[in-house]
Amino acid sequence: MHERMLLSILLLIALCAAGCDRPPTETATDGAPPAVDIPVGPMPGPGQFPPSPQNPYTGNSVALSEGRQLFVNYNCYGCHGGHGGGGMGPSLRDATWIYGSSDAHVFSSIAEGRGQGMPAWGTKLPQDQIWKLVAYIKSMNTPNEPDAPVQK
Amino acid sequence: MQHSRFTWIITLCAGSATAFFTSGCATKTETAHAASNAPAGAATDVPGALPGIHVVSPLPSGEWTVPAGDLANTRFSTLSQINTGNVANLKLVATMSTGIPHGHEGGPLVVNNTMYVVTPFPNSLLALDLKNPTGPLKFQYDPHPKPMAQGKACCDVVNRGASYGDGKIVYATLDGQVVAVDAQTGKEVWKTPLGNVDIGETITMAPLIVKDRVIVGNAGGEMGVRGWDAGLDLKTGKLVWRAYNTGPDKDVLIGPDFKPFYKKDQGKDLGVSSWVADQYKHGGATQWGWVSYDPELDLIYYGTGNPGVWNADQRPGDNKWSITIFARNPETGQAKWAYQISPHDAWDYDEIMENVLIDMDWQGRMRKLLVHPGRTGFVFVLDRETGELLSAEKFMPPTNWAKGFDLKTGLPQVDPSKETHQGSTTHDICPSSTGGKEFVPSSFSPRTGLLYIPAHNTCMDYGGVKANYIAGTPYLGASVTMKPGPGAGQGMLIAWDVKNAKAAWTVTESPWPNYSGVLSTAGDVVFYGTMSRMFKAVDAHTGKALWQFQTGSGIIGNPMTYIGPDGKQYVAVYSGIGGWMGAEALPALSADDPTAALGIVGAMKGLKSYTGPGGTLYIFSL
Amino acid sequence: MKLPIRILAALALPLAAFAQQRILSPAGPAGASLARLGWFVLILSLVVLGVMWLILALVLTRPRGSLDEHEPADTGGGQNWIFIGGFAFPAAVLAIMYIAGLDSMSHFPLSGGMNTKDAEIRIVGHQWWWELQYLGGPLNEHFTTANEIHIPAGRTVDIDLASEDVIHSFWVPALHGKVDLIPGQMNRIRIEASHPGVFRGQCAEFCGAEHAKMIISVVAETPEDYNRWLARMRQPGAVPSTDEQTRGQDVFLSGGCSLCHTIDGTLAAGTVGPNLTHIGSRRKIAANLLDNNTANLTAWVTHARSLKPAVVMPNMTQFSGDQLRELVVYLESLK
Repeated sequence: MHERMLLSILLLIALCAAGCDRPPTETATDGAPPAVDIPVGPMPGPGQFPPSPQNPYTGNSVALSEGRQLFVNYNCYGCHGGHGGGGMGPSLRDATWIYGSSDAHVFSSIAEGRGQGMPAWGTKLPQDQIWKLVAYIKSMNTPNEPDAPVQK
Repeated sequence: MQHSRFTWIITLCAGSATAFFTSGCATKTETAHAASNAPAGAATDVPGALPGIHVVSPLPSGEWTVPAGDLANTRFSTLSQINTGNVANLKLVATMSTGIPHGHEGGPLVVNNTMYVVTPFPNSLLALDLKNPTGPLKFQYDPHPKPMAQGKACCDVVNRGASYGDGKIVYATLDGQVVAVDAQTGKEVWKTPLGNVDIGETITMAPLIVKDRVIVGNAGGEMGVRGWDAGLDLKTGKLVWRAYNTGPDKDVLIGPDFKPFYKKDQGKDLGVSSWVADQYKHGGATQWGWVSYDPELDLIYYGTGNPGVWNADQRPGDNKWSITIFARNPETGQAKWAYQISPHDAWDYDEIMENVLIDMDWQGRMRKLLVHPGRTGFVFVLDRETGELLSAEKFMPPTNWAKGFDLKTGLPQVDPSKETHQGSTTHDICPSSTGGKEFVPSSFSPRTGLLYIPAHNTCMDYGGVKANYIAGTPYLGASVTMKPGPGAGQGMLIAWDVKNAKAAWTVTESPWPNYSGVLSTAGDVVFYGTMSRMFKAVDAHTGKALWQFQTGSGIIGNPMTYIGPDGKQYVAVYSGIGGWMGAEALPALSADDPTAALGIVGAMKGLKSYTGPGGTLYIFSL
Repeated sequence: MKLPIRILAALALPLAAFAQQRILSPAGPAGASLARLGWFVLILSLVVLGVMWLILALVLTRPRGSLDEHEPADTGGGQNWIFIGGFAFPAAVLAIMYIAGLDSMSHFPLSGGMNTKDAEIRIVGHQWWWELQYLGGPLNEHFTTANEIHIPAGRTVDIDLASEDVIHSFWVPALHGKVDLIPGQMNRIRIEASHPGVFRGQCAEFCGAEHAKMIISVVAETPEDYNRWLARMRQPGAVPSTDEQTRGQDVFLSGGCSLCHTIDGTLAAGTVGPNLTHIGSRRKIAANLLDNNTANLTAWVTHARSLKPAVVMPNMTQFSGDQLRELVVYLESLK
């Protein structure tokens, strides 16, 4: 009788623990500048290109919805359109990328800012938040896009 | 008999002498440099004007020295060489490309046989020698505004033009500076920084020169800036006065002279007490439209824009002095009266539209009127001496945000089901945030008594969301999707009978809004352009189409007319799509996001195939 | 047999930690009404429990004989026990409790009856903090603060309850029962503290990962103290008076804090996180989780997510030691 009770308590604890499998939302990077150093233009001369950092949040659906929330909180939607369709700033949904389309290029554009009016967020936001924004932006026009625009 | 013949000869001689001299005078006014500021009390009578209508400031004849041609903003020209009989023969005589693929709002000036063009960003000033319009430029002046200003302009990097005074062309740059260029040499005379572009202040409006003041206002109501108007000294460019459009009376330059007509606008420091905490500091109420001037009353008139954040629930209160028409003294900036059209705006109905000043027989007696066709879809007629609202009638029939206006209190009768709130979407509000009419200026012809309104019929769904303020970024808080309004054709040229407060006739344009200014002339021709690349002329009395010309890109600028060095009448206009409603034609937009470009995508789907970007000046004559 | 006692003892320990949040020690009339009901039900239940244990004890300890000494198994009887003990007695007890409950409820006004006057305070629930809008006086004297609700003791205070995201619930046991904050709907609660004091409460509707760390603090003050507090809260944030504070303000404005936080009187007007205009005078930080002192403030700025893992505020580890110190000095100066 005692063993059965002990067993059921242990089972209960095990079940609870199994529910806590949410991936950590925070990578242990520090929030400091400088932004990731990625050349925007082509590089002269022969030789290897520097390795391009990968977005740690690729494929992470929790990070995508956090990225969507950051897109709204930081007023990205005000310039780039409610769902990134453009307006004061260019569209983020289409295939045209003025400053490069790789995750690292988009990261740089957000962190460094760009001359025609894109603010430099790298001095204000921790890097993981910028990566989440990149993940959200690259998810636009794919089935993974959180809060996708409704076509009328 | 001798006596009568002698008399006859004398009369003949006198008559011909008079004819000789007056024709000489006529020629003189047609080619001479018309003073941009008349001596006080010089109301001009227009030949053929309807009885009971007097124009308030000298009308443009040979030249075009201020953005509207005249200080009262009628955009009416006394030239009649081109008329309903011969306008069908109008042909293109000169073109010039600015090379900038963005919205070309505004229109050129003509002074001393030189045409002056202000381009969209980077806001160069081009001077064209009208003695040789197909030849090289006389000069080009480049102010080099900061490139980052392009990211602060809500509605394309446009510029609405310049004013001429004291030998200088004065205009504003996108990064918030006002510059004066010597009209002959093209050298910069002075440049005054006025707006803080880092927090989102830009200047897109055309400054008005009034006596020795340059009147200019800022833009940036979508960026949470605080709106203001300023008066600069014309000679030196120094800031003489700055009147904010929100905040305490001492900032708004409200003093002992201030006598608003309506009780709701009376009180101390209303620009503070009608806002929560110190939200007035991000209260918008910018002035990015048109300024008019009455030389007799010595007052300038302008309207202010939306109260900052689009989410109305985030700013309880009347939000003064947004959506307000102000009358001010141009020398000192002190306010004479103010009338807030729409307290606690919930739809982004900026009211910076033109205030057309006419003296007219109104309900039995001669009155000094101010006619304001607004974004709200109503034509407002005010007494410009006191600010009393005399009439507010819908010119855009589907308008449903308000039933009408109570003339006793001056308040709109808002339909509660069309109010917008945070956390919910209100559907089918007419007109949309772009209005029954945008900033594109109308024209009033004293010969027909009609106000030609370039209007559009667009409706919207509008939902407020909590907005976060970050300096230098948009302070919006709304999700807006627009759609064409009910009825055929989204564009309308409405000929509004001012006296009887109703439309006399309407020319419908399909499928795009009318987004260009209008010009009316003493030849009874009305000129306007369409977003589908057509420059059109219609009969001022009936609206019958008389002539059209296809330009390279959609037209969102304001046509003007002048006398060239050869004594012939010319008409000029820019083509170059862009601006807020034209954003869909610019390449950087995706139509699959209905909330892009502040929601206009839904109403403008397909504009891309009607017009691409461009930037060309077109000059026509017979 | 020893196990139940050990379990009871283990459960009693955390109860002691919530000593300032005891349902049964009310500080206001609403709380008192609920506490009366609570005590009544508790004692009645304990009495019933006692009676049941007595009967159980009697049955367990009565002497038993052999099978032959008893009546045959098929002898009837015992219905009285079933009827009285199983039906009539519980029905009576429950009926008494029900009526007591109804009587208690009748002391709380229906929400429709509370709209006679405008609310003084509006609480907007966020994940996982409380935004407080004080709506008294002319429009430009309204102000916003967070987490620490001040009310005047000795009179009723009407509070509107709204939510920015999910359902939360406002529960300060010493003062009132639970009222939900529901998105899209405005609820109303009327609380009264009969004497000054600090009363703890917490969010009573599961609202996400940090639901347990969404703590309420109600500070009831004498009317004079309350008015003084109101006047102070209506002032903009304190202007830095030392070099260190000035540098700290620079760090605040340029370092990303202003993107989400507001300090009235400066250009920082972010609305994502709590208003920090008077953070220096709050007793606790992080939705009343930690005491407001230098160590906790510093830890919160740099590693909020170690203290409250799912919080929206990121770890701000980009400051140098000096910058961090100056920033915290500035925040502490915002009284």
